Amino acid sequence: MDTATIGLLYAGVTTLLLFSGMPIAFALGLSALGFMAGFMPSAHLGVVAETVFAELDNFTLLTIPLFVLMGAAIGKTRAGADVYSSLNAWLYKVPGGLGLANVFACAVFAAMCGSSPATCSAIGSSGIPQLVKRGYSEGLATGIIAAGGTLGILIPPSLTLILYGLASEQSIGRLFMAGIGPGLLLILLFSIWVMFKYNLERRFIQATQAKLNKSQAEIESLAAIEIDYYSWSDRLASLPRLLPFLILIAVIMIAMYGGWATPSEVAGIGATGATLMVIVLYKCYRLDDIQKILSGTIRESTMIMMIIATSFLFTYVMSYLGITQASANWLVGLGLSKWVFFFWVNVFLLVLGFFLPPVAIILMVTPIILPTLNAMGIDLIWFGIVMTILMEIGLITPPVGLNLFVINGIAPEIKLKNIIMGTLPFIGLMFLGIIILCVFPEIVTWLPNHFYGGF
Amino acid sequence: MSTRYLQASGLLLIQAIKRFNILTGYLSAVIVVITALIVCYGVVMRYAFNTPLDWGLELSIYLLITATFMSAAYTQLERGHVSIEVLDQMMKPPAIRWRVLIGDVLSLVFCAFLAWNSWHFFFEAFEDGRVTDSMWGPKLWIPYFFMAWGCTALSAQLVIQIIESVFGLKHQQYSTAAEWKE
Repeated sequence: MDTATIGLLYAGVTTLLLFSGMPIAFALGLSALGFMAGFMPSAHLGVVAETVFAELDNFTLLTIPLFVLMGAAIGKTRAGADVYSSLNAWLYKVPGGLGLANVFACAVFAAMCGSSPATCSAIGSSGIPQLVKRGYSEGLATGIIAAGGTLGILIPPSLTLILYGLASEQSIGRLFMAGIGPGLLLILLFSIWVMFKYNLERRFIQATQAKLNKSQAEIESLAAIEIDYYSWSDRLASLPRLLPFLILIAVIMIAMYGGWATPSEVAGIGATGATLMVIVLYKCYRLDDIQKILSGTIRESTMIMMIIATSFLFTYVMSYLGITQASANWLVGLGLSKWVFFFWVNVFLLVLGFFLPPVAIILMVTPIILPTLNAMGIDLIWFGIVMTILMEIGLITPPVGLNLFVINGIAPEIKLKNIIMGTLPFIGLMFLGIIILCVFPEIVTWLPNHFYGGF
Repeated sequence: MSTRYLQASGLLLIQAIKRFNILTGYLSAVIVVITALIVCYGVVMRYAFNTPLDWGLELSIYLLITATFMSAAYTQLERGHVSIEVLDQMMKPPAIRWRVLIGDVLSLVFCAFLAWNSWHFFFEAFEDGRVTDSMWGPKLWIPYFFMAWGCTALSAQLVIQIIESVFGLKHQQYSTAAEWKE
């Protein structure tokens, strides 16, 4: 059998196993095992455990459980609500300020944890009810949180960027640095949209009321629904609650970008700092609380680590059988121009993102497209960021958009259809973000090149 | 009488394995916390006392590999290993039960092979007394042992889930078994 046939067969069998509903980790492993048995010398089967172990024996992988612990510790407290209410006190006067407070709270939270669903549930559980109470439509409220949550994997620390760094052999520090600019860009785009849409919705409510011939005062009170007032002392009083988080973020940033510590060490410091903070400041020392943090951490970390372990096995088989090389050659042989290739890669990643979690996509696809990206002169750091934004889109699109289901879980009274409709504009904004990054790649590359020096 | 006795002891055994998997799951989480502390300790020692640890790095890696494998069964018990469940939206409950069962059997094939292979790997390293080539040079059979054990526990958990779905066991039956023992 020639390589192309084996490659197609490999892809087919893997897809079949994945859709059988078995855990992704075991599906990848079983598919690799089957093709090892069928097409590779039997010696390889004898060293499967050794191969898996050798791949996990990697200092960079330490970051994953440690960053997960950090996110889980902070996520299990009221911390999300605190960050959010403090930001609201500062922003309440701006039209759409509450929505902005939610977007920013997601961003701050994202800077403390590397996962999108965690960000969503931490901010959304208090944010969504507040937004709806203050007259935001359900769609806008849930859209803000779903999209804001995706910042979790773009703003460092980010598990997705770590995995991309591993798969593409790029510096994690550089990738983290590169995530900041695009993160700010998305925050800006989201904010503009939230303000615009909020004012639109408000005007619509006022117009409807005016048609019913209500008095002006009544209209005002109905449109505002609930009016907040925060004095300067309220704002200042809310700061101490924010302070520990800002300090933690600052420590992480300084340790990482000051060249003090490796990403793994930063993860260790962050995890310890977050756990201590949660225990001391939020008084989470009851067995019940600790148990929740522990089980949350280990479940997520083990899930990711098992996928990593077996996807290494998967790509090992792919490369041994020459599938990686053959598909890379095929891609180069198509003679596509740089941007046409880039476009199709985007489509491909987007489709995969509808079904698979980022960890599996990044580890499976990166080895195939990497040589072509290199040949076309596409900056790998820049591409990592674009890929991450595409993965974010996958998190808020059906059928398996994790964030959608997290929000459905924390706000069960809002219909899934409304949530999905609410996220659509934000998906558009993310595509707009990618286009902006294509036109101005400096948004990604300037910061890392400035710090680490250009290529 | 004897079949009833067998049944009840089988149920109790299943219960015991599950409890054990939950316990090792939590222990693994504690290991992650300990690893975070070790990493911090390493950073402090390097900057404050200028004495980098020669064992910190390796130990933390092996601890995390241990934690990952030792908690794989717990994660399976909680159905925490993500899967693509899109088809469930189109299938009727009996079909979903079949899909889950087939998925579990296929998972078991992979996990059991990995477990068997890891034990093999462990015995080899144990007999040769293999160590890593670092200054610290810990015995390699130790992390290999936990990997093999973890994969075995994971396979056992899958077997339990298969038995449960084949016989349609529910929590109620476990409590009857517990009562019967008393």
